[in-house]
Amino acid sequence: MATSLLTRVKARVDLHTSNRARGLIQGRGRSLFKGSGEDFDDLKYYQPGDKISDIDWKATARSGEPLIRQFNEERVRHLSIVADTSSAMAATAADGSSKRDTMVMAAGMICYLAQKSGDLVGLVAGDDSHPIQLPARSSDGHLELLLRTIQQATTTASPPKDTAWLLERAFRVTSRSTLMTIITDEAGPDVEDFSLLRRLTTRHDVMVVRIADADPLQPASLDFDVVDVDSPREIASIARTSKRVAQDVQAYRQARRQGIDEMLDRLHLSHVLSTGETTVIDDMVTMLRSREFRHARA
Amino acid sequence: MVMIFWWVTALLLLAALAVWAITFWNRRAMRKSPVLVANSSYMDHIPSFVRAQRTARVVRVLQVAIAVIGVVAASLLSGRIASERIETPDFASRDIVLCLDVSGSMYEYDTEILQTFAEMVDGFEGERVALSIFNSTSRTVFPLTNDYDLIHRELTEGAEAIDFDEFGYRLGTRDYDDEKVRKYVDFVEGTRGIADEASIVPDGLASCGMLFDRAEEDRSRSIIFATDNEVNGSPIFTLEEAADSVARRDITLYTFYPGAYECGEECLAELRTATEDNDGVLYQSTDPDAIPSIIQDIQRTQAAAMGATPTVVRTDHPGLGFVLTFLSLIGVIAIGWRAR
Repeated sequence: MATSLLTRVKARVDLHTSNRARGLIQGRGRSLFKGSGEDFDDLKYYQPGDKISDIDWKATARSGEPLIRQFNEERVRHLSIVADTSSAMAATAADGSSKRDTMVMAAGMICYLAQKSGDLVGLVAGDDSHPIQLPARSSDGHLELLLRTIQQATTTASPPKDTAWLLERAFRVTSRSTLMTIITDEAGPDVEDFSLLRRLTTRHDVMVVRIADADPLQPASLDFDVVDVDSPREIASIARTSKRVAQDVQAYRQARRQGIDEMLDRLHLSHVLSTGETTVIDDMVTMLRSREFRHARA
Repeated sequence: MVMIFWWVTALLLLAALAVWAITFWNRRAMRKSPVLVANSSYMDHIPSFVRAQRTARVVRVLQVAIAVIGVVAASLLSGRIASERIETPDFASRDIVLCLDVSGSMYEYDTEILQTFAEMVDGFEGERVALSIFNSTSRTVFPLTNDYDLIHRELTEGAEAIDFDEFGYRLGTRDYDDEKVRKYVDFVEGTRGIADEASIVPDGLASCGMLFDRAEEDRSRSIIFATDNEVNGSPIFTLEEAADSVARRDITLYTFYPGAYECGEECLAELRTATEDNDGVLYQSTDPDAIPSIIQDIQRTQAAAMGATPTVVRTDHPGLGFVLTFLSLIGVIAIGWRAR
């Protein structure tokens, strides 16, 4: 078996974000997920078996005894990943990488950050006929399973995209308030899902990671056919090389993106549109940073 | 319409079919793995895209049609479409000597015979024709030749010249201008070598027999011998001897007997015997208008006698196949250039 997905994600995060990500994942105080669950409860004496990292060194120095900070149960944050595992996510991303790999990378980024701070991560994915749900856990094995589940559920044989169902499902099965990361592509969530999204935001802190689709015309690589995962029709090279068609397609995609961007902005959601696996880590770091500022302002 | 190399056509079509089948079954294998994209169904609602797709479909149909037409046309062209014609063998190895009695008794008939022959010459293909006229002596008007211009000219001029009622002119009942008389005299010049004799038929026939050359070659030889057999003088040969000498040299004798003048039954019987004893054929008609049909009959008889195994003559018709192949080639190049 290949290296675990989590390890791979970690390597990528370290490689890609060296300095920029450092701040995000250093000590709890500067953690990305500030706010809820940070409630400091008490100091207690260190017992063998407690985490060394929990030792409050200043207090220890003052008292002469090793003390550890104790947080109440609320300190454990619940994260959930809502993954769009429809067939569209098995296609190619804008930078030529796989949208599935990009999605795994994005989910892995969340898992990685959660693992650093011991948060619980759950999963909602699948479709009407095969709903997928993983409870919120924090173990490495669970995170790995979560990533694998996303990876394996996303095939070209999956049913077409149904974000409405997915959002509805996420709302119903996630009882507790979570930091919810929706991972989908540039066509989702649909502007018609506005009310579903809004309902979701009433209970959860929602982030949306969108992965841009590859150009369906691919005029530069005519040797390869272009096939839509949902409607496999052949696209003639005349259509693929036509400037007029390229213009119209571009205009349509632009309009669709803008529509979704506007909807997400109206809901005050953090969202990012990433071109693919090569940039998704950077894009997410940028998004998380901007969240930090948002909280700072608030 | 037949195809001479129909099997080439069949092979080519089969090969084309095989190539198509191989590429058809392997079309998936030969293709590179496609680029999978998603969320592109909206393109079906973009008019310019729909138009481009439709154009592409038309172009593809055209390509297929041109390719099919090209292959089929090229196959047909290679198969050599030809029309078949059954033809009797050509008469290029045929020699015909027209042996004409120009005595006064044959007036009326000679003109008709020469005219008929002049007309028939147009339909000849390689036959050699000679004309010999005789009265008391023989004159060769022209020897065996296939110069049809000359033959035609001589025959028509002869026909015109011989249309001359000599007895009537001498008796004063018919009058001709000097030009006409001169022509007649010129034409029959040399046929009156012996004074007070006329129509030395056996000698005339014998000298006609002497006109055939190339004795060593295997040729069809025939004499069309027009006479009323009214001998007026003392011939060197008898008619039997003359006919026999002709027959010995493998010359077929077709005798045309126009009708009695003075001699009657006796002369006809002699002529018939002499002709038929030597495997000749005798035609008899008092009607000058019957001469064309008789001569055609002689032609037919001869074709049959030559044992003409009918041969099949094929004429290729490459025009349509060539044009189609050419056009489809241009089409292939044009479309190929476009998709370069």
